[in-house]
Amino acid sequence: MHEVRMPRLTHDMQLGILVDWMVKEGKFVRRGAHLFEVETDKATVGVEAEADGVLAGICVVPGNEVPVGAMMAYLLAPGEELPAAAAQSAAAQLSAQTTPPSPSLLPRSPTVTILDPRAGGRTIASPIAKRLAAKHSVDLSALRGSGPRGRILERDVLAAVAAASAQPEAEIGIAGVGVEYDIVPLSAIRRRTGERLTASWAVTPQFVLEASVDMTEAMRWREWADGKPSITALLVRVVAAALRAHPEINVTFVDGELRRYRRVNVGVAVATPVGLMVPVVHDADLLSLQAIAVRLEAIQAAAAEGRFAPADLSGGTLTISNLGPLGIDAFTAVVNPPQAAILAVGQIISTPVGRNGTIELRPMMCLRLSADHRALDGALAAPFLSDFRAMLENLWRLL
Amino acid sequence: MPELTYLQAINQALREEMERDKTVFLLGEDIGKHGGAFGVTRGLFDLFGPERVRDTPISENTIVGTALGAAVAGMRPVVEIMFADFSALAFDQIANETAKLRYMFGGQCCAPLVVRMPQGGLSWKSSAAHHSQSVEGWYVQIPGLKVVLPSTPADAKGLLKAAIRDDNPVIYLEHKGLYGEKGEVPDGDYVIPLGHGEVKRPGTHCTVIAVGKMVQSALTAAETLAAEGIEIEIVDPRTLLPLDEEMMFVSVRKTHRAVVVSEAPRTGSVSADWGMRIYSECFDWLDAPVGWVAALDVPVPYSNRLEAEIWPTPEKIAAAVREACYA
Amino acid sequence: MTIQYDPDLLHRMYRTMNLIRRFEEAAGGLYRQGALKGGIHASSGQEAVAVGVCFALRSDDWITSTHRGHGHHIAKGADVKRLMAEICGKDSGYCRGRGGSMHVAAFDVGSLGAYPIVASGAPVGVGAALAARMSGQPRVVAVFFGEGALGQGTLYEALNLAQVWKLPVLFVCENNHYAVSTPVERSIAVSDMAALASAYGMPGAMLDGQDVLAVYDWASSSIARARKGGGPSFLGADTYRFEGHYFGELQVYRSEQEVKEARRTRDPIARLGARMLEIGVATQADLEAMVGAAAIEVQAALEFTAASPEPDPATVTEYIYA
Repeated sequence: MHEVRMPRLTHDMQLGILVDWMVKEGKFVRRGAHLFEVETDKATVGVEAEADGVLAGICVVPGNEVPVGAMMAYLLAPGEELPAAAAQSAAAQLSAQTTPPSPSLLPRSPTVTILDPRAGGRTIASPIAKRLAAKHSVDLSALRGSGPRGRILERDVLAAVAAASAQPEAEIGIAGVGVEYDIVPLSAIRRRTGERLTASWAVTPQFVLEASVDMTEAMRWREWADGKPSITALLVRVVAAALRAHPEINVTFVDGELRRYRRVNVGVAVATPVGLMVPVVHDADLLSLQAIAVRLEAIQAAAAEGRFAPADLSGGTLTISNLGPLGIDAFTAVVNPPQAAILAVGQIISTPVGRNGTIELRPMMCLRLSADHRALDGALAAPFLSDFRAMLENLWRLL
Repeated sequence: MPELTYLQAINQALREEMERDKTVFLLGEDIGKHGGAFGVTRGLFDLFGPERVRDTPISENTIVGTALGAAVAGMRPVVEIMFADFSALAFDQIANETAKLRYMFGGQCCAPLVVRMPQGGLSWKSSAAHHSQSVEGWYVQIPGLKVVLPSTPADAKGLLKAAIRDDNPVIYLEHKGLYGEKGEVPDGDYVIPLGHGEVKRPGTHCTVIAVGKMVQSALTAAETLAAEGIEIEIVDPRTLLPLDEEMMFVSVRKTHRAVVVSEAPRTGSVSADWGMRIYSECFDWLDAPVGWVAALDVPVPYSNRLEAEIWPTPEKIAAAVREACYA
Repeated sequence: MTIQYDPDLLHRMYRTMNLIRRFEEAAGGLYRQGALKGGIHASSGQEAVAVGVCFALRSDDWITSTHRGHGHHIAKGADVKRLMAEICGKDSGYCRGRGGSMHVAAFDVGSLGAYPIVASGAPVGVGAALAARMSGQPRVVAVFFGEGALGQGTLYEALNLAQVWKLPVLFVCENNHYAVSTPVERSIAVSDMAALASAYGMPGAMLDGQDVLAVYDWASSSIARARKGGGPSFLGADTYRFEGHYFGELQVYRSEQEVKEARRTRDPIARLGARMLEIGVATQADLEAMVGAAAIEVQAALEFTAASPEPDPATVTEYIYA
């Protein structure tokens, strides 16, 4: 009589799941024949019979986990009988085990052999499950499928996604699944922007400072100045002055190195047909407002076609992104690597504010400075932003 | 909206088309004074007379061939073959002549005839092997034909009118088990274009594709499944050739699961064709293999006990849906 | 009995029979060159039946034909250029290359098509006659078939229906004695076609199919009767095919001697020619000129066909549905 126990198939194996018996109870097997299949954490493996004998006293139901070394069945020599105790304990164990629910199958021809598609370490998943997993970066091999023969199903992937984002499963609907879509090709610019900003987001500890600017002075000044310069031109001129006054902001952080620049080159984020680009106004602190306005006009013209010379796009030390013209009240921008800070500007809104003990309507504009904490901290960024605001609110002093 | 039986809807369509177009006339066995073996043509002989409602001898092949000749010569005949099973006798004229004439003759003619035939199992009558078959599979394999199988009285009326007006030969299959089914039928000139299916029941968890009486079976299964929280979407192609496959694809891409149903024997049935199309076009959307519920590959037996074994039932459909949904 | 024939009619008959003969010879030539694919079933030797019947029809009457239908079509007035192009599978053929010899049709001259499934043209012809009658058109339909069709049930169904509904049909049975390789004596119990017709309640006759005028006479009176509403008739024509069942067949079922003898003694063209000379409506020179003219017309058809393009593969699915 030979005891059939769960073998240790891999170095770390503690448990194996019995996939199925390859031989019916009561049948004779030869040593070396395929006796049963076990699913480990790595693969599904066939186990051979270690002796000749008649398979008897099975005490493990397929689908159940068995510790390494645990009893599973006996191989009886001709004439041998199961010891009564063994038979009883087998029966007891069997009834104690819950058979995992098997799907109700339509009547199948008895000659069909059901092979285990997971043999050889294949991960079996339905086509939609594979697609969802790829879309949500779910590792299929880490999932346990709830379908027949361990098939990973749509619901298994959805559950994994839900678990990952810690939302109630019932609420998860994967947007767009099952909905018709067209593939829109990414422009090189957009792809590159995505890559760069993803990298920035991933490694840059970004913090945000917010300040509301009273633009009364600035707007009055705009009306008065030649050619009515744009808000953006004004911002470029003033931020250049602010950077001159706070050189510790005019830095980039590259390969662990903090570089402080001697020139002030302000980048202006512009939308183009092929994506977001940041052309630079070089030496913005040395240019008159007029000159800056002219430069910005040239930039807008080039932006319409998405064409800039490489020189136009390099050397920026801080970026301004103004979504005010698009009606945005406030937003937080992602630091444009390797720059240390980016200034996000919202639209001017007539807002009730407390002034001189009463409430007045003032044209307020929201500024948010996102900064890289490796290069800057609040102690550096706050005075910069504060001064910037003061300059904007007292433009006549600057210009 | 008036309620008519499936049979009444067909009768109405025939009458309206014969009134509308003098070239429409009927041929068939016992369709005149007798009104047809099932009573589909009742009253038409009295309205239109023996010239336009013609009783024929028992000559299926020649009845169809004669209709073909008349169609080629400018008429619009509607042939009644008493049982779809008997159309086998007319198979030469349907398959070799009617379907192919226009193509073989390079477009010199067209063959605007309709061949109506009642098909399908009528279990309570124990009709057995020669009076119970579903024959759509025989005919979809013949390029040049159109094949239609309505599942409701409204569909029966709209599709028959379209079939009669179509300049191509149409095999118009009627399910004899549906003749007594009542349904709302739009009054007046209600025409459903051939080649357009209909979603008979919207759902989210699984698409079930069925025609004819199987649509009813699927609807019954839908009730059972709804109580279990499974909402199936029932898609009825209505026209088997040319097939509205796009409708199936839209549905399966939404539900991610499909079950195809056929009252005809499984092997080579139209349901196999639907399954193949789904695998070709919707593979990436599938969460489960396409379920397949079809009649057994057995001639229809006489004994009730045996007959009950062979047909798809609402229970079998529900089981296939549960399997596809891993429920 | 001397019947006065319009000389012009006889000339046209002679020309047309020669046109058929030259056409079949040209088709045979193309086959031997390898330029023709498919089964070509020549009607050489059976010209008198085709011409006799079709010349008795009016141009707006209809016929249904068989796999051995080139003669029927030419006799009915089909353009030999388009016919030749069709049997060579060209786009300029009657059926745009889609039918070939066995499924040729020429609706513009009243041929509702060749129906190669034996006897399958009979119901179609009956149906066309029904349509004509129902539409009030005084057309007659001639349905051609070989004696092999007497083995096919649908033929008898068609005779039955045509008689029950009294339709204007002329059933024409071309008994050339061989259905492929099977001699008629071994397969068809009907020995007396007139009796067969009579059993179905219609007039019938078994004629010498090589005598174009005999065929023409009997056909003419049957057609007139049908046109007046007298119902169908059955013309049995005893004839002979000089070629094999199809070009390229090894004719092991009949002796070369038999065929030679038939060509010598039962050539319908020679018969008509002799008759025309005899009654003085033509000279030998006239006859030869007509033979020559036919050859020229067939030659033009060959050239037309050679110059015609094949159908465009991109159009393969055209004409499935109307």
